[in-house]
Amino acid sequence: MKELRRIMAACIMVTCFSNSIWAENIDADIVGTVYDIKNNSPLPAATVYIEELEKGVITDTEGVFRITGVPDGTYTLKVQYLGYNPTEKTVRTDKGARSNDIGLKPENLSLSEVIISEKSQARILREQAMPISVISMQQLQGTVSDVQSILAKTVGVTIRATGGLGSTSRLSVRGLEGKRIGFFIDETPMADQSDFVDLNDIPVDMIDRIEIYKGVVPAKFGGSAMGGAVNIVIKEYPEHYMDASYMRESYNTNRFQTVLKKNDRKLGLVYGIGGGYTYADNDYTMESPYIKGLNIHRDHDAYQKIMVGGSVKAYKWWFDEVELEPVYVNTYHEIQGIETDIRYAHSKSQGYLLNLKLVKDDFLVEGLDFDMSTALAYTQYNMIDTARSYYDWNGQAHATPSVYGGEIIGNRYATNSDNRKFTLLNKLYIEYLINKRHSVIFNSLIQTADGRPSDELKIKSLGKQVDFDSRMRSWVVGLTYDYRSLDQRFLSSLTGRYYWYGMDTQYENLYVTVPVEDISLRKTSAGFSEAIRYRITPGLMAKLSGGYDVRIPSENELLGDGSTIAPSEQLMPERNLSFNAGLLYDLTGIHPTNLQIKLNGYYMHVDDMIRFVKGILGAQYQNFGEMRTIGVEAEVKADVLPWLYGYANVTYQDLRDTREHEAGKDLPNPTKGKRMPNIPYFMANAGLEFHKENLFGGSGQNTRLFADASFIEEYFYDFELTKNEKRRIPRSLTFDLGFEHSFFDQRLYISGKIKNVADAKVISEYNCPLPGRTLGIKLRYILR
Amino acid sequence: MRKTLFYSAAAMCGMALMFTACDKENNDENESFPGGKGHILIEPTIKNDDGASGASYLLQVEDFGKEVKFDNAMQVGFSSTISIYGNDVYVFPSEMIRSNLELVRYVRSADGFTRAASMQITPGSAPYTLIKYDDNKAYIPQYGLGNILIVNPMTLKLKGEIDLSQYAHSDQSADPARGIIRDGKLFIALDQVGPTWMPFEDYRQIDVLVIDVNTDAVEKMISETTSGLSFPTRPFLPGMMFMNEANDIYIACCGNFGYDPTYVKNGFVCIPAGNTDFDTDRSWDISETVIEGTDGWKPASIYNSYYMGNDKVIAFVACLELNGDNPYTAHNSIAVVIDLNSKTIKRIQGIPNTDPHSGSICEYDGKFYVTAYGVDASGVFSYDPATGSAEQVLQCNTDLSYLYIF
Repeated sequence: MKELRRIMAACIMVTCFSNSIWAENIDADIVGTVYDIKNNSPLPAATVYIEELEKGVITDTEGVFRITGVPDGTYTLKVQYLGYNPTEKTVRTDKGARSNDIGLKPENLSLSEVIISEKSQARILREQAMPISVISMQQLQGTVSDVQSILAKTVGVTIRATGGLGSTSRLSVRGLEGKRIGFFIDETPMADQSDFVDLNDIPVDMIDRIEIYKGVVPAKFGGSAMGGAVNIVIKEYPEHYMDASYMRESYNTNRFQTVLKKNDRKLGLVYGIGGGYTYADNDYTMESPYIKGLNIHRDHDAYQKIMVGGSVKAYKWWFDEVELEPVYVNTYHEIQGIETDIRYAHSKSQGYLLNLKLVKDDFLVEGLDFDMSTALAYTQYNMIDTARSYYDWNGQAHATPSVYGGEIIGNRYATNSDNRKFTLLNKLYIEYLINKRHSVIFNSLIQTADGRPSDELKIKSLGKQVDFDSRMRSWVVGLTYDYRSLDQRFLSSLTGRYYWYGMDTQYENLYVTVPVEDISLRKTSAGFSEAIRYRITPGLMAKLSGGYDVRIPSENELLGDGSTIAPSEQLMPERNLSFNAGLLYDLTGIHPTNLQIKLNGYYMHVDDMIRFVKGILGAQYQNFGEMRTIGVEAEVKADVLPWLYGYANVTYQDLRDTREHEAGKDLPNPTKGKRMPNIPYFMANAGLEFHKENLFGGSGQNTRLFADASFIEEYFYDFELTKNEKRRIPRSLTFDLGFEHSFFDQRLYISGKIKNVADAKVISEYNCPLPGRTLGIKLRYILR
Repeated sequence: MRKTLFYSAAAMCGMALMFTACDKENNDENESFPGGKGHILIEPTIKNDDGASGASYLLQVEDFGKEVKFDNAMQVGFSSTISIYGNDVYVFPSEMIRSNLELVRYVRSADGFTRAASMQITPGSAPYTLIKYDDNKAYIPQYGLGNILIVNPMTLKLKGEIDLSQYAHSDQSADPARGIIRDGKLFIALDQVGPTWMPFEDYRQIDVLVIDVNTDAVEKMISETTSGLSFPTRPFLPGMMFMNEANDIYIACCGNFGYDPTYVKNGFVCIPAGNTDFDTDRSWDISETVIEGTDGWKPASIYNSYYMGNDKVIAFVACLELNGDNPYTAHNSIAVVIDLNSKTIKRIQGIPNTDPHSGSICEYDGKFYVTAYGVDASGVFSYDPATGSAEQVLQCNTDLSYLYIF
């Protein structure tokens, strides 16, 4: 508590100190909005430049710009936006900020120019001090791919999937995976809702860009991630917008997604509604990993998801932005057996989410930017495994170990759970712009989770209750100081964080009949990070960052899921000491090739890494002593020819066990120095894209052809102690082909994709074969 | 434009070929594992921190005192159980972490292992041991399914099945465990465990089936209900059901593995020679006996035993005083000598407390060898009954789940 008070006091002091600096600053700001004069919609990523001062900025996603620290005087603002006629406006500054709204008139639309403008926005983000990869809308637009497939082609990223659509999958960034990799939608943390909202639930067509942070994660994400974060930025829409798409893929996979938006500029309200329906049989045939020569047709893996969401955003109220978003998610998933022929077990879930976002610049005092989002979620999860017999692959029925049933092999009990959970999340981000060089950021992330598991059948089967009500509270608070040199060549961001979490629940030992034990945990920790960026030449910049991050265990990791994941109350927070160094050579917009070469090297030392481990009585999260990673990533992208874009990337990540002793032992650790098991260490991706306007004649059409290859070297499920290791995840090479053709100035799209053209056997999780070749076709229509 | 298309297609195909060229064949079925040279067979096990998952290997070591090198080790399922008759080594699939669903018979020599036969195992059937009658017949109790497979031990071809479902208490399987053949009868211990793998609280007794090896018919089930002992034998440990010089069958009974302080009964029951019923007078609950050489500790469970002769048994017993939070990793068992005649238990000094993944026992050249995985010492330790002394003979920084000396 004393620590908290000290931190609060420090925050107040910093704020007061900052105010005094601001008061002495006699320079003014020029602020304003750049918009499309035809439909009044804001223009993000427009260039606003003061000719006399040779100083410029780029508008944000709302078309808003702010040029800080402008001395008194009269200036010429030059505004440019590709696809629009440039304009100039004379402005005069006295003291304080003045609003300047500038309208631009569209030129005749050129597709290639639109593409370049989106790259420009992506470029701004790449110039942050932290290591970041950005997948721009251009790479997403119109493709059949889902988000995971797109991420999988990114340097340093792998997807660990266990089956077809809807199956359990994990995102791995630089070898760190699971819940430590933050998953955000518009900077709102989603990781704790990952049982309900999946990366692939977000329609690709709604995404403006995907930001992938590696190593040090910026303060704006609230400190709940460690080692990496994926932020999906949803598009801003014009005044009227409708987007509908239908996709059909192999294995009876059907996806329908739509979004409707209306922007009432008079009232300053944006209404939106959208949703999606996904269904897949996932009935591919796989070779049994347990029985030689047995081919299994997966006939109990159907997956269905319904998602409906809405939003109302006000941008003319006292807050610059007030947005309320309700979301409903409903999922049904059969459980496919691999070892046995599971015929009945399945899961169901429902989630109700409500998110409120408040944003205001110059909040209470000038230069203070306020951004707060609060999310409430009520979720219900049912696991049903009540069959009284289980089947082997010869079709022979066997009695289940428990008389109450339970066909999932390894469980000796039946289950019919009804687990309910209420979670609250509050993220507060306050940035105070002291002047053009200095700013201070305060951020706080409060999370609560109250679980109410219920499973009478499991209690009957086991003869005792092992799942109990739980309560978890956590708070991560951080303070960041940002420095920018006057010429913008040097950026620095220094962050300190404080972590607190508490949990209350009960524990019953499965083996022993003793009184139920009360569990009450309270833990604290602290961390810091520093990231700097230096622009050596206009096209070349260097980045350096390092930090000591802490990730507190999620409530799911601590308490299990009430069914297949056992509680792990003694789980410690994991800690990561990391250093990243990178070079970015970027000729985007400077040279016709838009060549981009990225080279990153990094070192990480993780203590108490939280790992997901399967054992005899279900799975559990566990701490793993310590390990270190040394990694190198390289990526090249370029417009090789005016009509041909190419990219290639390669990742080598060497994760090694560095424990001197096993836990509780004085003996030398027999696996010290060995490569960490079950984590890929060498991956590469490459791709080509041919694009041409009006390839087949006519007008307003565009054609793109894609070819992508992905390679992952063989790795082992266990530590590699002998040359005869049997349990291995084999080397994989997949090759995808795709096309996209748009009509009517990008209003109608038809696209298709063949994934894994060579029908290669692919496994990314031990003993979980993935589908082979799949075909998909998609039709999309946009009304705007 | 055609040229453009051609170059694009060529570039894409070229990229595909480049990657295809580095494709690598995987051959998981390669069974030419030497498994190391030597006459000492060990099963090193590397656990994850939970103790319930990890990896295990089979490895032959030339001699004690030498460094254990894993280079030629043959990977088996995690804590795979093993049965050995002569040079036939039967390796069972792991029950804790799923592995290939097959039982494999290897023929070992001083140079390594040759795969000789295999049989497919039903998922969830949990076979742990093979009880050989002769070269044409062997029994494989299936813990999960509650039956006994009859196979040819050389070819592993299925010859029949004995259904035991009618003997199960409260659930579908009577959990047939270790067995022993005497006078043409197969005596099979039934563990009768519940959903938590522990004996039912309302059924703390010892059940043994008597099966005629000529007809493979169950003659009767005998029960010992007076002592309160339960969980007869761990199914993969042959030494937990043994005969003394007089052909009396002794069965070591684990109880609740020492995890439940309210129920610590464990010990031995006896089926005397020439009889097919228990002699309850010879049942012995050892949980009341103080272990000599300790601070008054008493056995809360017996984890393994091996008959040394002259009514003496070398064993590992668990003590409540040594329990930890995790039963798979706690160093809660100690090596002892149990005298069935004098009803005394004496700790063997010089052998560290071990977790339950070690604790294997075998006999070689008049000495007894055990595996232990302690806090500061681990490997193989020898015990000389003549001197009563023990010493470490092989250093290995992993658990050793199995030990056999050819």
